[in-house]
Amino acid sequence: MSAPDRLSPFGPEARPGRHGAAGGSPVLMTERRVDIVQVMASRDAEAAGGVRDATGLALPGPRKAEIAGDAMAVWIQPSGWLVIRPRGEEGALAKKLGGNEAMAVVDQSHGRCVLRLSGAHAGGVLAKGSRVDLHPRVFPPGSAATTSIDHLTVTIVKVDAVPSFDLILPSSFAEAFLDWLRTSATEFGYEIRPST
Amino acid sequence: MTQTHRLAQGGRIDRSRTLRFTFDGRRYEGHPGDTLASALLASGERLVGRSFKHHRPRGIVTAGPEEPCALVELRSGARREPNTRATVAEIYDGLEATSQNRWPSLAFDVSAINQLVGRFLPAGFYYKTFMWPASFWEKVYEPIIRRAAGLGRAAMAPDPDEYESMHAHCDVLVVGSGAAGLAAARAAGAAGARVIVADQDFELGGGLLLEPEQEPWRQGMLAALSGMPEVRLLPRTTVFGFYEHDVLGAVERVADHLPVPPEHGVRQRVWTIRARQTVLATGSTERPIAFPNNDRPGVMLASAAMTYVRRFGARPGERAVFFANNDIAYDAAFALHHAGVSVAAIIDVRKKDSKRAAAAADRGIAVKLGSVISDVKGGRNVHGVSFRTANGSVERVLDADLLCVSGGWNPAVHLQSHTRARPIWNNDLAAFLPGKPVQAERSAGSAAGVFGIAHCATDGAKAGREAAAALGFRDGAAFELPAPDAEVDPRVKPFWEVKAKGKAFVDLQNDVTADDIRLAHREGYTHIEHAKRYTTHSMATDQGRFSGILGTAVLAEARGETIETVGVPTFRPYVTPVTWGAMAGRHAGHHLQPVRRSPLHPWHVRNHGIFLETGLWMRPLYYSATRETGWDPILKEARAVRQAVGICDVSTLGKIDIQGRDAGILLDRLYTNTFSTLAVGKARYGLMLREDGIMFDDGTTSRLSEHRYLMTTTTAKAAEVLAHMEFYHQTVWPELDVRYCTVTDQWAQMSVAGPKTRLALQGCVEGLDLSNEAFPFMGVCDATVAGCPVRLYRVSFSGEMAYEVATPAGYGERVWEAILAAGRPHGILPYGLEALGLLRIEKGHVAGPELNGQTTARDLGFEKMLKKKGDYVGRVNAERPALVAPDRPRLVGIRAVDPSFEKRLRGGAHIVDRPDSKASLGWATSITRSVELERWLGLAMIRNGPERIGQRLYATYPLKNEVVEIEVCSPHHVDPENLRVRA
Repeated sequence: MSAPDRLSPFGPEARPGRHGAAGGSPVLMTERRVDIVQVMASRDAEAAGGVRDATGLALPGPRKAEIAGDAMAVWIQPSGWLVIRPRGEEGALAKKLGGNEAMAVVDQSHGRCVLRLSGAHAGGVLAKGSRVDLHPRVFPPGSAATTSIDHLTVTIVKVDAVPSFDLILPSSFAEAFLDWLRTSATEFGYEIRPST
Repeated sequence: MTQTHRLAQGGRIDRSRTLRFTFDGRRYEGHPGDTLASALLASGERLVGRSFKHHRPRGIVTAGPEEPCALVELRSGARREPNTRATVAEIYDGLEATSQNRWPSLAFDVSAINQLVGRFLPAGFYYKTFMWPASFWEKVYEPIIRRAAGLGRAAMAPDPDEYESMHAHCDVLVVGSGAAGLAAARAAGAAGARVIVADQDFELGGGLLLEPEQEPWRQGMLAALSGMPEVRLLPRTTVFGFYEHDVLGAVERVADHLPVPPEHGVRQRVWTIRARQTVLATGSTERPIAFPNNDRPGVMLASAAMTYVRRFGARPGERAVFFANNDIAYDAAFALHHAGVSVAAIIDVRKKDSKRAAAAADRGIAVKLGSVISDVKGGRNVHGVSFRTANGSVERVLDADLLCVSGGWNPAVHLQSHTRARPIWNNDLAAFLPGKPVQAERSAGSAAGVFGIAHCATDGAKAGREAAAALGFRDGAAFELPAPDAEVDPRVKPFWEVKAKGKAFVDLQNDVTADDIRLAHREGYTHIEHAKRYTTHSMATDQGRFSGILGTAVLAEARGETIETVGVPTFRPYVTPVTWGAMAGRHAGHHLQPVRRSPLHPWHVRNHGIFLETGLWMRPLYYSATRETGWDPILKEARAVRQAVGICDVSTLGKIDIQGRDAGILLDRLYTNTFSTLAVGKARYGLMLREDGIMFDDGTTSRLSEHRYLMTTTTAKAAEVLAHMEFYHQTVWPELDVRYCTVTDQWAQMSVAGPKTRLALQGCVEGLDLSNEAFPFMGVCDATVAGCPVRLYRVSFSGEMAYEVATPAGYGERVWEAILAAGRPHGILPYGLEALGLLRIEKGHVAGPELNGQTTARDLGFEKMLKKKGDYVGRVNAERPALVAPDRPRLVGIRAVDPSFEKRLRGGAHIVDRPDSKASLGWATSITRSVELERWLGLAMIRNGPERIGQRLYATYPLKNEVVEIEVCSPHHVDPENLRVRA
């Protein structure tokens, strides 16, 4: 079924534009238009096989993310992952992964959202709220951590060495989190990009 | 005021620029690099404050953060900040500073009368004086104490500046940037470690800043450190606490040295630093000696006088006398002499000649060995000192306007003490040194009792190397250390107090004298911690770092024991004061907690929702374009539901997706009723108990397929219910094959309710037969609205025919609008939380006020939902005698007998059987104006409630002197046969 466009959970203030301190190297913020499926395995190996067959993604170990182009699988809890792919037909990714008795599959495409934070100061912005050490020596690309930022549960995935981070969070907090992020990025300057 | 006391040359100030500031309204000038204290001294100002208790005139005593006297208010208006130490406040053009604790002026202070009655203000004065009669406590004593208490005035307007917090991680944290700190950082940095160097000063270098010949080395070190990508230098940053697990707290004064923070910048920043290793290169602080009138403006530490001359090019006086028990103080005397200050004499308590006495003689400075200062002449300014031999009675007087005191040095062990390491007494230095580390730290330089620039640098480099090596880093490139020091003898002759007539202060900040300590001892406060609290010794901004050990020495003598035995009061965070603004950071006002928004939130905002915070959620209370208050908009919305159709956002309800072969078993054990028998495509209302048998939560759970259920919880308990499930699954029933997670945010959910609901939904729902036969009460079906997938649950909270419509959150608004459009011909209205509450009270459905953590299922009339077969959480404990006692308050309905709305019922009212009775039978839990029965009614918990149905009782609300006659009835005020929901 082809459903109409979804409304962004980041709210009316998330219009593209450049804000905060001028010059330098602004932090880029981009909402990623993706589908998200939560996989909870009762038998890990079988589940991993199922996910690989359906998406080509391997299920990574604790505190890791398997990134392949626009898609990724992120470890979020023991025997639990988020499988993320560019947005397709409503419910199609969950359907594709479903029907495997070794795992429970839950569509979270609307319940979670993903914001990409990119730029030289991206780590400095996150350090204002996250206790996780994001230094390249301990948190190289492909690392993932679920942590508390500004009282919220946020999963941080390091995507590349720019550095870029994909921040995965509950949709009901998207607007509040963006508010926190904007305030924290003001000193460096930031740009909200059109969602991709 | 001109800079009359500025030296012609020298110091680290930038003489090419002049900064203008005011102190108590008078104009002064200084230079970049000055502190407020150095600029005031350079202008010849000595008197800067009044003491806390006796209002004695006070001057500048130190040149660092432990300053006990020169506390001032900085700035004005909303940025006014009291109790700022002038010795560390950088001046800027336009700075306004004001003295404290004086009225009407600093020079003429009315409360200085306290000095004359001072002997009637001993330690414990307040405890002893304001005891009886008890009736005076609130009305008389408290106002008196409040007026006298406190120092400085806080700003009364909201702080306009921003503050923030920051987390940092490093391999090696170096606290302090003197010779030891810089060398430690360089050694660790060269080895490849991630290093943070924090120093409270605005210039890095610590004691190096007083040694012009060391400037090339200091600059070379800073340049090398700046070039290391993994080294971060944090000047203006005080590490204020050393906590468990090698976590340290620090505050960075980012913009305190500016009139206002730059655009997009913060004023202060709190750092939480997780350090794998810490090097404490915190230096040492000179300590004073107690002698009569040792608090007069013009009495300062020898090292402070040297700092003002060497670093700031300011002359703290014209004619100085030194009073010391050690060699290091001689260097300060020579520095002043070199700067052109006349040094009248060095009064040295030591009897034996030292090499330094000869060096003094070379400079023409008289040295009086075996002598002590016995008094200070002058009030608002020193103009002379008396001295005598240690045991002699013959006093001699010297003219002087500056008395520089050195009682030895205290290594700054406070951060190490936070870790519960026990400091160790050292006889040579007569000081406590860092003890055996408890956490991953080591002390270096004079913080470890090492003196001399080169010795400190060597010690620091060793500490830095060792810290890095402990983490597996191999030594990096070697670097040059400063040339060896001239011989330094840091030993002191322990000397604490000159016993002579007059007030000899051991704590300048709180006006505690040596006699006060002895009084505390006589009165039984013999433990140092008790003496501290009784006398207020070692409290306030300097936390005893300036002179805490003097109080210990006096107490030790009184007890006839050693200082080592008596000890100093425990050091605790914070090392120096930290503003509340910095601690709060961003979490002020609306940012105290994040706001949680329903997917329909933007619609509610656009359509005049009046919001209420419920937990973190913002929910519309009701809708009103005119923002009217009162009952009218609520009654209008509720009537729409009873008479036509309404729509309400219930997205905030907790939703948990449960899958697996054992999903039904898990639910059977969590709920008091059975779910494994529920048919696919059906919903059921369920009750959960806590382990102790008390009601926990309620909600409907639907079976979506053979092995998949969707549970709903109340908004308030959503997270708790999920945690409850995790706890039992992980610890009690790990064998169950079941997986679950929250899907609260995945769905926008709306309740469409009222007799015309079916008509409204038929106008927009596609792919579903909504007839009662095809889709009966408690059915669950999938369909489409406006092209969006929806799931319909035929459940009702209002008591009317109702469907809850759920759609993936991103489609929420579109579906909501489609239902509104389809319902418009039938009179649909959106309704908020108030109408929702009104409707459920009329229907007799329980909610938060009834599920209050004290009620059982029986209390609420749910005994039929407690299954007889099979176990469930809370079953056994719910049978405890007190929980099944027959006279427990139980749920009933109550109605005002008078049908007018004049005499209102209130939630919380007590239920009594006579208007004047004081014996409560229970209480009203939820109250509303009824649209169905047109009177006040509600729910209540009443003893033997069900047996009282039909009785006339009274609801009394003594706070407002209200008594309303009520009738006890069934809680189901509306449609008790439950026909409407099945229509």
